[in-house]
Amino acid sequence: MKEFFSSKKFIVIACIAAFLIGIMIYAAVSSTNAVSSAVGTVFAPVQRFSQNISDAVSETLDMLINARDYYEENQSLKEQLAALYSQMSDYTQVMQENDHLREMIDLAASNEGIELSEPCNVIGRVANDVYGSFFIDKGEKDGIEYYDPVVTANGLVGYVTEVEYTYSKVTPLLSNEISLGVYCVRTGETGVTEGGYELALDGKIRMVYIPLECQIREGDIVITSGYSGTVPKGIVVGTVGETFIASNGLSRSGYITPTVDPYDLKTVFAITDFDGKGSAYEEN
Amino acid sequence: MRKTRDPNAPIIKPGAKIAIKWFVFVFFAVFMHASSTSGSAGPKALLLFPLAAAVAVFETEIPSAVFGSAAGLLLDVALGKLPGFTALWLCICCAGMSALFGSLLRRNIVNYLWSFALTGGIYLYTDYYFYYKIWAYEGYELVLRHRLIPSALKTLAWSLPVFGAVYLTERLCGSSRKMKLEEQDKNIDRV
Repeated sequence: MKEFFSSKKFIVIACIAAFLIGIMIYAAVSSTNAVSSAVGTVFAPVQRFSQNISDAVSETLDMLINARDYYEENQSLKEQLAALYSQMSDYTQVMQENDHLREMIDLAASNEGIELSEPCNVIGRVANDVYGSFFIDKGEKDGIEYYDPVVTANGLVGYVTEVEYTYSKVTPLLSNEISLGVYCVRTGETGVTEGGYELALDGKIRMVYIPLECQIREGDIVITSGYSGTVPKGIVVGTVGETFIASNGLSRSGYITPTVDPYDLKTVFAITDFDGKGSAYEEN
Repeated sequence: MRKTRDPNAPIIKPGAKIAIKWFVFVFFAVFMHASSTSGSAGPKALLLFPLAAAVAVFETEIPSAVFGSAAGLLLDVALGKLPGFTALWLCICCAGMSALFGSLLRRNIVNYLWSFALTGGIYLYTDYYFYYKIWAYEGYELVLRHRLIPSALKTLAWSLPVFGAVYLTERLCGSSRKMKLEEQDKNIDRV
């Protein structure tokens, strides 16, 4: 044993271990690191290729295995369509309500100051991540920055939490590291979202600090307030589920189902700039 | 005069065999890294872990430590962990396993399985402790039940074919021990 500790083998292994500890310390103290960047740059095409194969196999298997489910879903959609036809008479009323909602959330105004990145393809997923974090094929060279909001046409996905030269990591709203100010489109009542492990397994987040006497009810749409300066105002976050009095008894909390499922994404957009970006930080 | 080929000489030179063997190992590593970041959501088998362990069974300490470090860095990227966290662990474990198999243990699947399960189990706990338990976020135990343990079980199940693949590669591309029978020497007194 003594001989081993004074041998060249041991010295080489100790050097490798010291090198790895150095990498760990460097990675821990810097926001980006050369190791991840280099590995990511080399493996991005392989990951993309592998993801394409995996998607093709999954889709084919899905069609074969879930044919019955799709048939039933088709029947149910037909019924829904029939119901929608019967609701056509309420069309004018719905249009008016829609206009009203548009005015309320001022979508047009909020979209004016938004600058989107090129479409970002999902090239891989963080293995075993509860929140469904994923990698996109756009990075620093494409103008992506740390903490850029990531969206689809359906709403907010999450934030860029790691930027390398050619790729970035996106952490979805389900993460317990993300909190943002939101409000209900219908009632205007505000709250703050938060994620967690248990909620993430159900694909939900929690809206907290809702006024005790709130009018929010199931099915209401919740959008970003833009107050934090990290995300533009008026981006859809999700729909409200069950609400309940918080454990402190001073406010209510509610479950929110995000409109975007992070596990079901192929293409997303990063918001690289928007009116009021970083304003909350500047005030501080 | 035409040069005749030595019938005992190997078809592929030993140096080329070693190069092919390491090329195959690197190919496995790239493929396994890609597979762990592709496909649907849910717990995934971390195949780079058993691959590094299987290579350590057949190789000497330094190549095992280097390969373990490289595989660990790839795993860190795939798992979104601090680069070096898994690499350091695999570097030490692979060197240790290699030393054990070189001097104390027979190179068979049973010894591989228990040694891999032991090192994997310790890694699983350190991962759980440093990334989840220490922070005590709400519902952190669920991660163990829904992600880490299923992933570890899948990895353990996959470790058998991975060992088989490495064993075959070693058999086909590794240096084999040659024994030569010499003619009886009448000058040697045999008792």
